[in-house]
Amino acid sequence: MAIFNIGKDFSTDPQGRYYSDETGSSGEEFRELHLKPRIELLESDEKLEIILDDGVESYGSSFLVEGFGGMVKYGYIRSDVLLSKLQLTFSDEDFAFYRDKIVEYISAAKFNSKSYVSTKNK
Amino acid sequence: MLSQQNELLSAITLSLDKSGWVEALVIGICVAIAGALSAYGFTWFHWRRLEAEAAKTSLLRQLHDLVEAFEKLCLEYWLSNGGDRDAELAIRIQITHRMIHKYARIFGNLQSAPALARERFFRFSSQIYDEATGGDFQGKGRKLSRSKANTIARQCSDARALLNELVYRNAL
Repeated sequence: MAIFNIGKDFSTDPQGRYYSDETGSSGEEFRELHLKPRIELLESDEKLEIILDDGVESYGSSFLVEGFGGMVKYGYIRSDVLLSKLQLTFSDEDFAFYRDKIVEYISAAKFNSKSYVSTKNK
Repeated sequence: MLSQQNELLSAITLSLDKSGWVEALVIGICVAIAGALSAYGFTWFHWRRLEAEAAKTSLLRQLHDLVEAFEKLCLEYWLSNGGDRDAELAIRIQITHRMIHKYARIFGNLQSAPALARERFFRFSSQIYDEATGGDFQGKGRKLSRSKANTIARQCSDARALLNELVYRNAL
């Protein structure tokens, strides 16, 4: 199983929705540079474990919606397939809330409902 | 139970005149000890119940205070166009919400927590999270949003009313 630790491999302070928010750790950056490539590299029956709470204190809805829901919204992968490929883990029980919200945002996203235009350098 | 004990003690006292007074004495002592243990047991359970109810009320009041604090932070954040305090407010909003959900979970795990109240409060926590930290939350150049502020204020007021009701019912 592939493993991605958000706190160690991305940022301990994920925030903001777009590159243009200039946080350096936006949902768009997380999705385009980390989540999407890793999902694409998975074998057919392989899962991606994402560790939610190592060094991270909290997430905003704007980050999670763009980072995870955006995978479906921009047509990269369907909701059910993405959910079957992800394993969201944590050791702090508080993060069960964020896991549930990620599942909710992925499930609610409409597949390929928007064309992706990068906000980098905007 | 007390009347039965009294009858037994009377019988023991009468029987002291007859032979076998040692036996009567032992029975009397046993009955007295049984009575004392029953009283102790009742008192212990009674005080445990009172302490549990007091802890539950304290938990509900803390939740109430957290919701109030969360509302104030959100109104300050969403009724401004972003400024020096934006980063600090955003962090405090996220962490305060995390505390609200933590306490809600603790309350929800109590066996005595009403199922409907538990469900309503978890729904509030989920909705308020989307409202307060969604949209262009933490976005550069974000604008103030009166509609967000209004929605958050209303939802928090509803939650506080629910908590006050639970505190009142707990006291009855």
